[in-house]
Amino acid sequence: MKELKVAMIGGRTSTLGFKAVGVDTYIAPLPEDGPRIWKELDLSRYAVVMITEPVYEELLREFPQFPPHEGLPVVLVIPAVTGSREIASSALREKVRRAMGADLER
Amino acid sequence: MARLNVNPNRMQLLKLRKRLAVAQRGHKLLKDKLDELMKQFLGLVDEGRRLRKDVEDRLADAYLVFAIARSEVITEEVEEALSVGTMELAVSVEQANIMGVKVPHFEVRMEGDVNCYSLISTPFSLDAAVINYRELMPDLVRLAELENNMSLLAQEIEKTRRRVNALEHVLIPSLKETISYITMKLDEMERSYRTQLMKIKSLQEEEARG
Repeated sequence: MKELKVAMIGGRTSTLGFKAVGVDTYIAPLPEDGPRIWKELDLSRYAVVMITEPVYEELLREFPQFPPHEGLPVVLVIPAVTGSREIASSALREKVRRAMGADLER
Repeated sequence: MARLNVNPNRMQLLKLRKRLAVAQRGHKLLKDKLDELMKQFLGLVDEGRRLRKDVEDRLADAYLVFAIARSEVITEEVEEALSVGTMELAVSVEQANIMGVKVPHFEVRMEGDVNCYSLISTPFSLDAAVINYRELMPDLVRLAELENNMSLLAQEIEKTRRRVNALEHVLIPSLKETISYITMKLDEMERSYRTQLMKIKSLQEEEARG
């Protein structure tokens, strides 16, 4: 059993509140800073890396196969303060489509 | 369907029959596995969707309350207050197993208190905001686990489906075809052997008569 931490990459306003509850926050002033921060991140220390949607989009653009690994840390996409863009749910729908071989819209 | 390249003899026929039996059994087992994986996956999808919606709604609320708190004082003060938090958040990772797929299982452990900042220089709403975040954390980690399980299961389903299809549409038909080819060939050989015998016998009889 391992004890790991939770990290978050996102804008200043989105991350600030998480800092108070013990999340290691990495501030990306602009979404374009995301890939640089991701590369510098010591991934072995974290179980979950939360990434806001704008930063996630930028990471996808930089690394077409994102997240690039299996296993830990697990990447969780969350909406930024600017509101949800439904990126996570469309990624989920894509997973379902690939697994079932059909689009299950419910 | 492509016939296998084997010599048509009885030995091969027996071997192929055995292989066909194994392939059919494997196919049935894999198909059962696929059905069960699907069932598990759909359960996860339902739960994941519900949790995702719930978390996103609550996160929006948390952002809102936090924005209100920030608007009441200058930003630096809030940042200063939050950066001294002694709250510790750790996630213990264990390995779980869903239908032979190894998945991580997270347990959240939170220690320490968030309310360690000056109550005078920060607004009341900041407390509410921080409490919101704290309550959200276990669910966020749970959501990460669920969504991760979903993608691992989805990969496994894809792999299993491919194997089932390969067995069902490639291996089993070609084995069946080869078996029927060998059976026919052997029958044909037997028939030609029999006509040869009949021919020889009639020749011998003719010779004896005369």
